Amino acid sequence: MNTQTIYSWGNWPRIEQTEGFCEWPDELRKVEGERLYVGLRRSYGDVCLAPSSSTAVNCTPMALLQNLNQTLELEGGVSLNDLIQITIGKKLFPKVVPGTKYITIGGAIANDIHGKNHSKVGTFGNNVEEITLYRTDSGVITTKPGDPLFHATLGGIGLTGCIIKAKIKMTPIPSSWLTFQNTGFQTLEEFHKLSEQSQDWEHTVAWLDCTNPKGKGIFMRGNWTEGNITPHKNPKISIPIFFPNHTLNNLSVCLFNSFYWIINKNKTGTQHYNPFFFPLDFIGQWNRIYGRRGFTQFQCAIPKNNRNAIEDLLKEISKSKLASFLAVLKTFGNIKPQGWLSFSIPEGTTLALDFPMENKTLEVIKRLEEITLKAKGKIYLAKDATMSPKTFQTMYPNWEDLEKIKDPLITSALWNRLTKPK
Amino acid sequence: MEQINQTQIKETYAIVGASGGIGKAIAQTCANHQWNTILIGRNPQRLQALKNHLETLGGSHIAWNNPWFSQEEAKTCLLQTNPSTLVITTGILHPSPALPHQRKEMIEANIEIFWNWGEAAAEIIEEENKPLKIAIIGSVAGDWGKKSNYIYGSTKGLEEIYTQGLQHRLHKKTTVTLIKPGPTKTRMARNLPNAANPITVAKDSIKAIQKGKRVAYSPKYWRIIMTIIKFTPKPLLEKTNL
Repeated sequence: MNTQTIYSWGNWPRIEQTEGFCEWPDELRKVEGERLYVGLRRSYGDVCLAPSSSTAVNCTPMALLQNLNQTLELEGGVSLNDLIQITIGKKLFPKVVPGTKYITIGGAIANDIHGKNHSKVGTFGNNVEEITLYRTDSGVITTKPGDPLFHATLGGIGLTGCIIKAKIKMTPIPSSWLTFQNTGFQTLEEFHKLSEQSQDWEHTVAWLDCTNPKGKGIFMRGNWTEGNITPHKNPKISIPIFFPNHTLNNLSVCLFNSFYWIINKNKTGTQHYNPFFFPLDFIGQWNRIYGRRGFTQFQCAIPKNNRNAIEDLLKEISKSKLASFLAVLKTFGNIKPQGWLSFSIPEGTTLALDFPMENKTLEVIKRLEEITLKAKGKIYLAKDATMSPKTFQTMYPNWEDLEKIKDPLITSALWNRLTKPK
Repeated sequence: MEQINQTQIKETYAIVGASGGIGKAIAQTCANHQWNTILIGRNPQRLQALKNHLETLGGSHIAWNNPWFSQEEAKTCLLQTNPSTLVITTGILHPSPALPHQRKEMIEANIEIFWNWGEAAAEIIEEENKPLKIAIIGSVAGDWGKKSNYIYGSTKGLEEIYTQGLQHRLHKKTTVTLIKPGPTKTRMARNLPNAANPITVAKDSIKAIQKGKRVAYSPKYWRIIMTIIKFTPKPLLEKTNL
């Protein structure tokens, strides 16, 4: 077996590990020793990295669909990119999509991802009817809502077994197009007001200029509309090499933010689903823009009654002068997530920011972690690379239940960091 | 040169070893073109799962399962399913030096299956006058014997001689194409760096078959690499750790 340094999307941390490969579910029983089943590795931190002593088993070849109905049965290695290419012709779209198509169904379940329409449909896990797992201690098991293993698997960061296949709900759509409306806002209060006024819109999200501590941004909302069916195309441009480390700095981010604000603040019209849901997928390997130093994403969810903490977070970031190229703000609806370690907080607000790995980054994130902890919020495991074990165990008190039920031979670098510190 | 509009042609590809990495990719590429496939292999569950998947993409698909394919069984399959193209994709790689049972496996998967299916197809083409195209998935490993996989490479080199002979026999009636992929992201070459995506190999293979090429490399740059290696003095190559 080859040993190589494996990276997640943020290119940090970097962990030497052994990579294995599974083309069919019946090959899983041949894997020996400790392992972590992985997909496309679009998570930012170490949730998709196996510890050095384990094998990372790449499951992306297990990517077959079994039918093409509104309840879809498909293997865990199917990517949303391939899924949408297939189902768009039947006017079906996944009920929940994140900001990129390049994730697998297994990854979507393991991280219980959320999208721009949480207020209407909840998280990905709220729309899963059945999960079939392979476990080293009990072979192939099928679980459904109500079964503890089902709820441990949703948001269970891949620790309960290999997600061989799942039944997920799809949404019928009238076309490939959405009508959208952008509205600029200058404060967080305005953002929350716009959220409350958007009950008639299915999809809502806000872009934030995080150099402004008051919460200036653009509120975007969209609904599916009539039109033709046009599948998306794969990106034609890809970043071929790592950019110099300080390409993204305070100045370039400020310039970008000003430009973005002017162009987009009051735009309305009709847009194809690809740029509406997946704006960053237009450029392949865009993570290389951050340079070899890599980057990390801090994403937190703050409960409604403590939402002033968002302003504290923005003040802290503005004070630090740490440039964030991407800052997104979303509100959650009141649909309760079904996973023991799910991230979403009903009626809460989530803030996501990318930070390049500079000397001060860890220190700044530590302060953001403290603010989030004080506000009784959570940090998203799919993006985390820096949280302390104490913070994690406070934010996710069900972690011990997951530890008891997880597959005895599966572990991840993140789980070791947060539950078995050296 | 006229581009082949593959959506207008309706082909039926019989794929031997359909559940392998390249076989599966060829089947998926065919289904994307709305072509039909006959999925030939030894694992009925895998073939059925692949068939279900392909039916979501387009075309119609048959799973043909058999624990071992003799030349006679291969001929029966081809006569009953009547494909337009036969692609043989099976292969096993054991690093060299290989143990006796590993060598036996490589002979079965890399030589005997090809002979059985190739000869069955040749008989049908001659007896029934069917315009059945034949394609064999070989490997760049057949171009040069290197210490890490020369036993596997020797089976792939044999495929090249076999394909040449088959083409000579059938040159008035059909085309026989040998595809030589470099390392591809399948279970066989999982540990090799810069391995190609099986879909890339599938697309290159289908393009070469439809154009009636005799030999095609995938990705194309492997033709340049193997030409350089062929003309490099052997004593020099033997000093390397390639």
